[in-house]
Amino acid sequence: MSGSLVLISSADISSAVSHVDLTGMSDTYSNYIVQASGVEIDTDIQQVLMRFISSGNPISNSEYDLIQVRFRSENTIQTTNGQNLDKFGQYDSTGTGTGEAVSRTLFIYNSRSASEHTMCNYQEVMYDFQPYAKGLRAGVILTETTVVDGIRFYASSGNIDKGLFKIYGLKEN
Amino acid sequence: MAKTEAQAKKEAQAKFDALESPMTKSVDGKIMEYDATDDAQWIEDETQRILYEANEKWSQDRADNYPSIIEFVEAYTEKEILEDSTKWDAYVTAYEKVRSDHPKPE
Repeated sequence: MSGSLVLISSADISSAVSHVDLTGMSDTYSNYIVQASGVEIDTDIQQVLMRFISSGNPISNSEYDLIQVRFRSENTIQTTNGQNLDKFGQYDSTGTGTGEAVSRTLFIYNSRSASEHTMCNYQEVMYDFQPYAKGLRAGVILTETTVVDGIRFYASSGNIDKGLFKIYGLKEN
Repeated sequence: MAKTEAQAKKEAQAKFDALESPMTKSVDGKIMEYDATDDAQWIEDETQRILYEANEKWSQDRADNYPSIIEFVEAYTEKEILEDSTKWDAYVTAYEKVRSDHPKPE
């Protein structure tokens, strides 16, 4: 695996921005890994949402199908799903208290094919707004065959004011 | 209170108009000001968020907080077979609390 991850783009956020775009996915790599670490927001009880980007614009059509398992420290494990969503990453909200943040790793496949759906699985750990520890494993498929060249992170309301975002290409040989 | 799309859009536009400084975004680590496309997307997203909060969030909140299906099965079975309604009564109390904590908007 040494040298298999090639950094494509990164953003180290230390003041409020409305969204964070990571672009630069190209035909050089078939699969990508995205890491978002220590993401904090400036408005309480909001979600850190995502959309894929195509030609610089977020894909906001209702074309995301999602299934996820939520690990909730204060409640039971819950499986949820959604179809024809216009974004993904919803359900658990973080807050503005000390230590309330989200860290997320995504594996993205088939993003560069115009004849196949982009697929992604991701996992996250977070402290929510209460704050309770939460974990998540999820899979999402983009049900249109648009070529994807990036990903956007944004808060459901307000700004992202902290976090380290990186996208890597996965070198296959 | 439930809201229409027109009401939500008006509310989102007012919130956008009240912003004091241009919004910024990070694109591959570079900080930039919002452009017209970003503005339109922001208003659309805020409209949808307001609609969700007003019209749909109660349903997700109930699903998140209802007692588990295992608790239901156990309580119901003990009531019907063992004629012990202790767990059933507790289940009903918990169920009704979730419904009153997260009322369906009118």
